[in-house]
Formats: sequence, C-alpha cells, structure tokens
Amino acid sequence: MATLALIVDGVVVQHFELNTPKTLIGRAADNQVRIDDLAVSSHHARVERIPNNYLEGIYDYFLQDLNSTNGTLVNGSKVERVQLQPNDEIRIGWNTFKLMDDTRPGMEQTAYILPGGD
Amino acid sequence: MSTKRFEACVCTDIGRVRTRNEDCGDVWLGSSASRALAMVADGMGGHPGGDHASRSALDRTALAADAGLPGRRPVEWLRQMVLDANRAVRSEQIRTPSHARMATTMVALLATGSSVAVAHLGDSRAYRLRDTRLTQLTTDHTVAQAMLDEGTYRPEDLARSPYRHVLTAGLGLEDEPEPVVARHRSLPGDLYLLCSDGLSNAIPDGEIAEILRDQATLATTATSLIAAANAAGGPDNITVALVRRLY
Repeated sequence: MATLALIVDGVVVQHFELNTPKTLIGRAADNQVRIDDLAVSSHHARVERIPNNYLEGIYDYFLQDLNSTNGTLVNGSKVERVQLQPNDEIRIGWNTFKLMDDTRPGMEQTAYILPGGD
Repeated sequence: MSTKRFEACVCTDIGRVRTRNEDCGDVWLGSSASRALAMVADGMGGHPGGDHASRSALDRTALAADAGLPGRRPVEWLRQMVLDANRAVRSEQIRTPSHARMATTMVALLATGSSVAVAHLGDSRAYRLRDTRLTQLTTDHTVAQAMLDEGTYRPEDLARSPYRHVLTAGLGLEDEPEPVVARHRSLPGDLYLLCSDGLSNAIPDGEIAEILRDQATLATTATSLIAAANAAGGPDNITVALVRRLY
C-alpha cells in the first residue's frame, strides 16, 4: 500500500492512503487530502494511481498539478505531471509530503520480465 | 574488386563499477569487405550466467558469419540468426541448471551492398551517423518505452522512470521471441554504432554524436566512446561495435 506522508520537521505526522484511482489535494472540503493553508489552491494537485500493464501487482503514481496558483514542487522543481518515486519530496504550499511505497522492488539493475509470468 | 566497401571495429570494457564483463561483441567482414556483420550482446546483470548468455549469442553469430555472409535476403538471414542464437541460449540453460535463468540482449547489423538490416531484442541499441545527424535505429524493449508507446508516459517521463532497465524482450526468455528486424538504405560515409546500455545510459546521445562526428579512425572512435562512458562513472560494462560504409 502506498501512502502520501505529511512531514513536519522531518517527522511523519499523517498518512493519506492512495487507495483510489484519483486522490485530490487542496484546500476545499471535497479533497481527499485537505490542507488548511492559504498558499494551497482549492483544488491544487491530484495523484493518479495507474496499474502497470507490464508488471503484475505494481501501481504507478503520477502527480498532476491542477493549474494551482503557487505551483507544485517535486524535489525542488516545479512540475506539471510527474511519476512519483518513493521518497520524492513534494511541496504544496508550505507543506511537505513524501510518497511511501513498500510494494515496489528496487529496479536500478537491469531486470527482465518473463513472458507469461514466472 | 579489391576496394573495401566496409570497415568495422569492436571494443568492450568492464567499466568502473562491475566486477565482471557480461557484454560480448564482435564484427566480421565478408567477401573482401563487401559485406559486414556486427553484433553486441549484454548479458543480464544480477542473474547467474549473464556472461554465458551473451557468449552463447556471440558464438552462434560467429558460426553463422563463418558460414558466409549472405548477399541477398539480409532481413531473413538476420532474423534466423537471432532465433538460432536464442535457441543456443535456451540449450545452454537446459545443459547448465545453475544458468537456467540467464538471458541476454542482442543487437546485430548486417550491411550488404546499399542496405543494412538491423535486428534487436532488449535495450542494446543501433545508431546511424549520416553526415552530422545521429539517428537511433532501434527502439528499446523496456517497460519504460512500452509505457511511452501506450501513452502512459510522455517523452519527458523516460529519464526519471524506474522502468528504464526493466526489459520486455531478450534472448533466453522464451522459445520463439520476435526480434524486431528492419532494413534501411545505406549511403557512402554512413557510420553505424551498436552499443550496450553501458554507453547509452552513461552519456547522452549528443555526446555520442559528437564523438562519432570526429571522423577519426574507427579504433580511435571506439576507444573515445568507452573513455567517455568511463568518465561519466562507467556504471556498467560498455561495448561498442562500429561499421563504416566507405563508398
């Protein structure tokens, strides 16, 4: 299960589960991740959960900025839409989040998919 | 006629991080250099026997080359050669149980007359430098590339994708793989590069193009490419094979 962890002073203060295809982040009441911060737009950003068609049981998470006033930053860079990686630092207004995903294997070395599963 | 149509060169290096070179590559010139064959195979890291897999593919290619490079039907010949190489890897898997999961990429190029045929499985690449322009002739068989093709990714997502190194095709994965084989028209002066991802992941295409554009001897070009990948950290084994059409 992947979660969006809200971090304050380096400490996780809250987990938001990313268990639906779309998770809305913003100041308005209808967001799944509601942030009470004037620097956050009413509908600020969205996390899309997309099942990977090639890797069984793996979900990919894409962060989409929804034309927010102050922008969405990932690892310090302003983004429109990016695939989130574990431990990416997401800045929305004055808030910092991290994607926590314990289901994803490390893939820095070359690996391959066996046709028809293994 | 004694004038050579093609010249070719191959170079491989362990890189600066790995303790073993699991890459293989070689080049062959046939019929007084009127034909050329080149291949690069990258045994898959993290699996026992990766070096054996690429070596099997190389040995099978050498066998085909020694029997004579064909003047006609290059696409069919090349496809058959890759399938034979796959069979060789599969046989080796059965013979040596500890290598049952070994696998390798393969890219091969056959130049005859005024055409080149290119076949590949995996993420080893073929490039062509024509005049000053570098063109990638192969499309990586990776999950990242597949996600780009299906529209999940935009081009800018590729560089950050965790699936850049997750292959969807290779030798040793199934009995009847489907290598992508394409035929391109060649022109005098064309320079073809086959390489493992130890080169293409280490340095950007622009830097590869710059080195190829130097018009040095093939041996100098090959060592410059490897030196550039090592200067960028040499994270993986690096293999380059070069074929130039002279006239």
